[in-house]
Amino acid sequence: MPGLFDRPPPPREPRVLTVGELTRRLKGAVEPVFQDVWVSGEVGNLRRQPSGHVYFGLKDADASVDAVLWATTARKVKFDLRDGTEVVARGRIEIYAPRGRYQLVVQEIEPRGAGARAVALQQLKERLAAEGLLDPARKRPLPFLPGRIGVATSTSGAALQDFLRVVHGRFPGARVLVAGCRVQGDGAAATVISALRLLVDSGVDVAVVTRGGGSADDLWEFNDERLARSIAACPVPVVSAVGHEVDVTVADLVADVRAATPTHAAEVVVPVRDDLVASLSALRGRLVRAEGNALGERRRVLRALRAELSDPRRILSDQRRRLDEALHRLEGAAAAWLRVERARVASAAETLRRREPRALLRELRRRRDAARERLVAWSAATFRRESTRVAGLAARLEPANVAMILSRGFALALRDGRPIRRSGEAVPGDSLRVVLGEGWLDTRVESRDTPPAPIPGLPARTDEA
Amino acid sequence: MTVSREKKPPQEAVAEPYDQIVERLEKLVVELEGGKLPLEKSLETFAEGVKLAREAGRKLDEAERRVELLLRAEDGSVVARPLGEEDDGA
Repeated sequence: MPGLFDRPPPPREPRVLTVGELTRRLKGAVEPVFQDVWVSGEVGNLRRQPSGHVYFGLKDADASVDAVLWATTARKVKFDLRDGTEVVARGRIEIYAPRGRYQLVVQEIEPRGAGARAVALQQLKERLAAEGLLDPARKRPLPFLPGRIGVATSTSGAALQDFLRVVHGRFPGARVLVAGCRVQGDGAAATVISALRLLVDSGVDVAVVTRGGGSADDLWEFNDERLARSIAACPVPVVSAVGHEVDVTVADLVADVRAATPTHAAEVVVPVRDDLVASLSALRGRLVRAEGNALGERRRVLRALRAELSDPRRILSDQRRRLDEALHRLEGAAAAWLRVERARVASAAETLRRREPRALLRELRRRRDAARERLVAWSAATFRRESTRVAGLAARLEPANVAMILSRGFALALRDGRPIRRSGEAVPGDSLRVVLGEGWLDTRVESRDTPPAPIPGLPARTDEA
Repeated sequence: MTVSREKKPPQEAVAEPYDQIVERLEKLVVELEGGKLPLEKSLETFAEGVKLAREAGRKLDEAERRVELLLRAEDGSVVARPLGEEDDGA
């Protein structure tokens, strides 16, 4: 019999679940529904494990969810995933039973607005290209040695320090004008434009726009359309050095020269002073040497000419010598002829003597006399002719005009065929041939005076008398 | 707010650029080395060469290193200050 004091039967309760059962049921209820979802939120608490797996949280104002990028997926992520990035992620919800936590296992992840941004960027590039602003032909050469170099960059960044260091390393005296601006974050592009204008108004010869490396987000402001147009319209050449080698922003595309880094920009903008000094030095050396050679050559020629002209007395003695030689040859020829004739006459006489002495002898004597007369006449004529000829030759040979001197009335006195200058060179009784302006005279010295003192200006000769 | 390409601001008297001076000097030197110049011309050429070399050397010798920070004054004019005195980067 049920007693009063029997415990009443327990009320009908739901079935008691184990934790495992509960978790399993939750998994079964939730996971299929959220097998493929897109979630947007802000990344926070990002941890990268050595294994390569990336754990982070996705949150918004109201809630947050744990997320994970397994290593294989994480490797494929192209952008810089970090705390604060707004993203859109595709994945599935998994409930991790042992911990009772759920997480979003991410298959794909992108920065929010990345898709739209990429399209806009592409369209901007196409627009600028269509206007010809990206055309390589419009890129201007940089001035070889700019008087003023302008830089638009952050005054607190390492890019400026790198740039200045390399510029002054290459060219210590370079003048650099710095216009400060912001290089990332909303509105930075406008500050770069102002900075550029400031540089142009200050009269720079070249403008450098630069900043250090960063993510695509960091560099994003340098894709700004108005900044690109300012660079394109800049009256001085622009060097753009934004980010690293691989990052190319629109500013880089529009600039006249693109440099990979601030350091590279410095190399492109200014030459190495020492190199220029060395080549200028070499040019100076060549200039001086070339002139020295030119002058030296002329001096040599002048010296040679002067040497030839220096001694007028030498010219006179040369001509005197020529005259002597001409007369000598003349006498030699006449003497030789005489010898030949004499020999001929002698042999003819000898022949005749053998045949008919007296008549022949007379005949021969007659011939001989005739010959002698002819000889004398010939000699005289020849001598006359030859001396005239020689005098003529002398006159032609001797522009310093020994002949003219003779024709003015001076005479040349020859003793043994050699000219004498002083009375001391002859003694009474000597035969002297006196060569006149025209013709000559054979004379004999009757007397002479006491040899006078040598006439100044004439070379002294040893007394031959 | 773009910068106009037509409006290049006035600068101090624009001297001949360095590379042009050196190019002229090189031409003179080659002419002189050719040895075919008459004497007066070669002296003239030499004198001109010395002048050019001096001018080029002067440009290289500008030793005063200057780094200036530019700022826009309220009236729109440009103010320059040696870098180091200011450290805000705008």
